[in-house]
Amino acid sequence: MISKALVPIRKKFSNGLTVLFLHTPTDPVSACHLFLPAGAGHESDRLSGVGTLSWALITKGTGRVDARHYAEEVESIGASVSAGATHDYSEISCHAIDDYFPRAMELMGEALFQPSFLEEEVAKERTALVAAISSKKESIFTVANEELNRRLYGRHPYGRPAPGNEKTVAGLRRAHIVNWHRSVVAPESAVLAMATSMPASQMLPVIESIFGPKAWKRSKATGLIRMTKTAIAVKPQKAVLTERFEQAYLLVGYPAPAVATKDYMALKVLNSVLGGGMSARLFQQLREQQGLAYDVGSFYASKQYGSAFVAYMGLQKDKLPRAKEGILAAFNDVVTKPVPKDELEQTKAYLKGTYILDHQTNSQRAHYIGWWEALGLGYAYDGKYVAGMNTVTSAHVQAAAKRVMGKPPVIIEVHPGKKP
Amino acid sequence: MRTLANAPHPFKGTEIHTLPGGLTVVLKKDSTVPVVALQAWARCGAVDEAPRVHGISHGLEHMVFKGTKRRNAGEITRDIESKGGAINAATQLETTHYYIDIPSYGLDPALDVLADALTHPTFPEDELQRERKVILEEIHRRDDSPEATLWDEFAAALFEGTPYGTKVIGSVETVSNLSQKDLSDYFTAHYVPENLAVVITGDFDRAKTLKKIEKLFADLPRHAPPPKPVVTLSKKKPGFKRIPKPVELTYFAAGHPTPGLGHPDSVGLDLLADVLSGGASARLYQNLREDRQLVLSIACDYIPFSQCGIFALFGECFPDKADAALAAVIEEFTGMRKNPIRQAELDRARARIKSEWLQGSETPHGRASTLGSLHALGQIDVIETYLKRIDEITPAELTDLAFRHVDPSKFEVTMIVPEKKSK
Repeated sequence: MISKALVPIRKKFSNGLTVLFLHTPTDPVSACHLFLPAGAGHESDRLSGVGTLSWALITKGTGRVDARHYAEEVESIGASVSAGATHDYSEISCHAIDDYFPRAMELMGEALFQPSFLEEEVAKERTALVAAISSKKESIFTVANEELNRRLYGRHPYGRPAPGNEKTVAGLRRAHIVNWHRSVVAPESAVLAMATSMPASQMLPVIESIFGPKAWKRSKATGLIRMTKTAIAVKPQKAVLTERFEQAYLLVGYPAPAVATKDYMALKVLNSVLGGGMSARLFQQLREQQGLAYDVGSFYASKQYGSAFVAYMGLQKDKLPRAKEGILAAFNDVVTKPVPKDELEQTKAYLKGTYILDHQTNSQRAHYIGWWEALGLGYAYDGKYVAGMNTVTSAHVQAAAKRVMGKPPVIIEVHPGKKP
Repeated sequence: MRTLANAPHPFKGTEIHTLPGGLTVVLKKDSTVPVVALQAWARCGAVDEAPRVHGISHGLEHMVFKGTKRRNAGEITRDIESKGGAINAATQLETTHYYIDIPSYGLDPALDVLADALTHPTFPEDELQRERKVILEEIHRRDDSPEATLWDEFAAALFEGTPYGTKVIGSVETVSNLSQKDLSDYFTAHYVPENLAVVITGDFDRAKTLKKIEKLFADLPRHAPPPKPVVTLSKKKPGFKRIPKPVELTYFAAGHPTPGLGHPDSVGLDLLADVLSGGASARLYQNLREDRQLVLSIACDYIPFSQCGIFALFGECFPDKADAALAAVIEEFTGMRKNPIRQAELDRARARIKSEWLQGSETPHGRASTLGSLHALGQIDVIETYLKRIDEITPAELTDLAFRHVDPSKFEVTMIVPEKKSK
């Protein structure tokens, strides 16, 4: 949350790049986050993973220096430069202590605008990405969640993992990377958010010189898959996977609306009522009162084109029926009964506090203002988030619960055992 | 009261109070964000456990939240979360700590909850029955993680027969048999003022808070804690263990015991680990991942405890490259005479460490964790000298230190390998 004393300066360059400058006088660590409105969801099925691979490669050598020397230059000032893609957007960031921040930004700009994408580096990072994708099979949550996404979103890009799969990534070549990079690195609708103790008078010219109109080769992203809203209803389904784990895993999920839609705030509150902390209902009822699991909770991610409301549990296979019954009963409760006023108020207080706790570092502050701006809601939404949460009533929570949980869910069970 | 007057930012001026009963209070005020971190550090962990009750430190960490004379289990977490805070705890080999991060307006109730949980826990029998099941689930979950299994097996092999080889979480057998009396006895013995420190960082009123702590923790039992087990490491031959698991990649650990925190060379060992693998420009990353493509990741760590430490490498690789990767790791050490640490490598490690120092202490939670963990291990004054020492060490000194303390011929090796390809 931005306090009243911390309001960013907002500038829009003529090429469409929005710059948010947040002055945080006492924090010695500065951060810059650039959001590009093209993510893994804007890739074609065939090239799924091209964004993740491209961003892994931008720090692996530029037109000026090779990968080793680039890393040496970044680390010699104690800085870091990194990049990645979610389904909705790509995010490139750098952090450094104040004295070296302008240089860190130059190095970030160099990686963004002049990556060399050498064949040998492409081959190396492709191998590493395939290995990382393959090792996801070792995480029971990831196995269950990817199956849930496939069933909830079908052929929508949210139905496939953002880093791609082993087959698509293995097929990626330098030309795909170069094309992707050329297509997405464009200033229109991009947002650069910075939080630093350096004064604006010093940093705005630095931003202008690195990310100003002359730096970009094209003004607008091209050739991207256009994402549409995800389906709000899916066929009720249950899938049972047998995998070589000690534990079993259970996910119960419903399609849910996108970020900043009518029910968004109410569902964020509901997520906290059900599975947001240790006093939430799922934790209390299923872990504390019944001892069914160690890991239990729910999540409702803020996504641009649609989301999912999901309860999760890691447990022993013989407890699955009781766990499923308990989760469905908790969902039924919020559909059929309003959340009591005191519980609602406690939940809002919890959400307000966690929001403050989530804005303690300059990297967190830059990320949040940039992200809200990139979503089209404006950076000021960051400050309005808690206020918006406070207007949510029990009636609104129940109505949102009915719309989302008033239909049968998709259930994923992972059973331990030998693969059939 | 004494202060860390010579500590660098953001620890300069940290106050260390010893209350009349013996409880330590560490305070560092900083009002730049309206947040406060409240932590309690106990100088006890898995090394203090009798074999019959392995896992009791961790079990107790769960159970202090399960009821006090004034609150039932649900009320402890609700009293924190309803004020916007987050509460949790963690157990390690030598320490157990409890933490609450909360907007500053929630400090008073947070102090009340933490003091209540640590001075008047009741360990209700019905709660123990339920929580035991939760911990058993946590054990199963841990068994599904290759990284966790690697650490448990590596530490067990490295410190075989000593308390440092103890699995913090315990075993299904020992956890299944923990009784209310075991918990109560362990608590009464170890949770005494001399063994405890309350650490507060962030936005708070110093005088008022100190007074409140004195009052709230007054009921702690006042007797000396049990003596710490003295660890004598055996001169056993290093072992090599391959553990088949349902994994796609191979995970390996290689290392041996070293001096611990407080040894004159401990800062140097920390610096050495960073020089070798602290970033993408470090020699192990460059040589093993980038040039020879033997590993997918490689990390060198110095993990210090109070009586000893571990210097070890942890890597991930394709199964068919595991042996070559391990041989290459060993070559990096044996080849250091010909290829000693260079000034530029050292300078980059210093820059990384200083930057991480500031980033790690950007939040009150980060600052409290550093202060609390170092105090619990008896080394809080290291904060005043750590960065100075990092700046003093020369490349020749560091190379020499590597030869004195790291001997790859004595590396204990543990590998988690795919089931089908196990040798």
